[in-house]
Amino acid sequence: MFKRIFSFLVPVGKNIKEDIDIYGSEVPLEGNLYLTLNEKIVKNINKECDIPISFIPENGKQKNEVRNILVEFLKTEAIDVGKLLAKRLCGFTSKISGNGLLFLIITNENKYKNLIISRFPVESGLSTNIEKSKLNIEYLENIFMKNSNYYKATIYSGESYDSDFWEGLAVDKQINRKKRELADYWIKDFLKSQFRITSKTGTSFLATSLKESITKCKDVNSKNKLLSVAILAENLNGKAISVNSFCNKYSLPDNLKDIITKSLPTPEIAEIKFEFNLDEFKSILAYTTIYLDNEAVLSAPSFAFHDVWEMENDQNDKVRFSTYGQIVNEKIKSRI
Amino acid sequence: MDYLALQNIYAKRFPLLEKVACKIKDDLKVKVKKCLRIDNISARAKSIERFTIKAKRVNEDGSLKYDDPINQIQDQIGVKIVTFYLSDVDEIEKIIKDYYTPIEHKKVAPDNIKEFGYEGKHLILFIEDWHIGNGVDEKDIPNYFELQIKTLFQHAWAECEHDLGYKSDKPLNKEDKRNLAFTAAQAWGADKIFNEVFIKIMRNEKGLQ
Repeated sequence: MFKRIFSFLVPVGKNIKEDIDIYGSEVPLEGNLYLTLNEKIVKNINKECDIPISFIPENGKQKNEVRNILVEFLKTEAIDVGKLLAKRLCGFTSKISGNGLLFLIITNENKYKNLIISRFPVESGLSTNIEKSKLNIEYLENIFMKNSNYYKATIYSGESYDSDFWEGLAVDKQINRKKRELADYWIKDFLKSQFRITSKTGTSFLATSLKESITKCKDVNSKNKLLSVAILAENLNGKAISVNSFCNKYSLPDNLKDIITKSLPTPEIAEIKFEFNLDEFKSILAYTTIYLDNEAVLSAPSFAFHDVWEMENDQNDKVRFSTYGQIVNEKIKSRI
Repeated sequence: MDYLALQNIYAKRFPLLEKVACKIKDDLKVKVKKCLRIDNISARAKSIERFTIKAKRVNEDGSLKYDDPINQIQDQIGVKIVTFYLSDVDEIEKIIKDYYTPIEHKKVAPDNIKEFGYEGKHLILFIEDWHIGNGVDEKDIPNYFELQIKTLFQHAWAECEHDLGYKSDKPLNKEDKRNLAFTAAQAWGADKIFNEVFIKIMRNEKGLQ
């Protein structure tokens, strides 16, 4: 349930020495703007914001200046306190990001209080009207596009100002998702926050569930499919993924997706976004490589090596390895 | 404040806290398994009695320290990792931060450079959904747990000092306090020397001077 909405025009302020005035106002809980905000942000906020973030403690202490402002704003619901957030955002807004419209939306849900912090880019455009059979065209600056889907949003929910509001959920619909999930200036600089699920934790869930799924699969084709995606995962280092997006990326069939999800400690983990960490992945899904004197190199995940490669000894201290599968990738290296 | 009602709320969540404490301990064991010199990892839910005592604590001016104890007391679940050497404490802290998100991480030591007393590394970390499991109302579980990382000497000193504090009806006198500070200084010195020798041996093993 909506409680208050405040809006601020946030100009570019990064690397600008002069003091910049910030203007804001309260948005009435009726009318087109209210309906647009409800439709565009509030209604889908829990679905859209899928990246958990948390405030970074300052000097190791349980203190974070942005959290302090946020809590103060929720307590007072005062526009002057909200303006502190707008002023802070202004200081980190570069020319590349451009001017923005910041919305601070307070909603209530039973005992819980929510704060949505959202930024829309402001744009320029043309306005036309016909007057006395004549077309008038006017250039407009600082306009907010109703249909724009390029926004950033973060939601904080809680009941206790002491123990809650250290973590939130974020989305960045302005960024090129192939590269990153959240703009640094929004999360690291403006909100003084970090990914809530560390890259190692997220990756360890993915790697462990893959490992367990490979072991569980009795069907050779399924086992091989999982082994091959484990190899392809090496290309994901540093990218933001979730277990679900990983499965979708490599078009894993539903039955394998289901095995992987069921191998996680809780099904909800499948949705959590994290930064893929190759070292952690390799430490769990380590590979064993055997070099033979005939120049052959055999490789497979350590825990499944003898499932993948069948070994026969002969009487001359020689071994014969055999395997069966589908070729999914081929690499040529100049030297081993 | 209605302390009886508070005690009942805490007593209701206590069995859950014990279960979550075990899960956190198991999780931590896996995470720090690479560290070879761990003496012990223990986890506990704060007893109902100790929680109530803590909830009633007052500041110097007589005001209540906690006006919302169930949300403000962050060591309802406490985990301790005891290790051999001081350098292990830093190594373990680094591993923990690779996997857990802290809202606080600090070295606890006397402020005055001439004083000796309690020392250790304290972290306040999020309790995760996968520690809680399914079918549990998250409101019955606090948001955070406290992790202490200590050397054997820091741990031994803190345990004895804590025990004496509980055993004594009245505050320790000046000489007792001085004696305890002396033992803390010895523990501090022992840690320092063991760590120096350990680092020297490790450097020699690696062929460094």
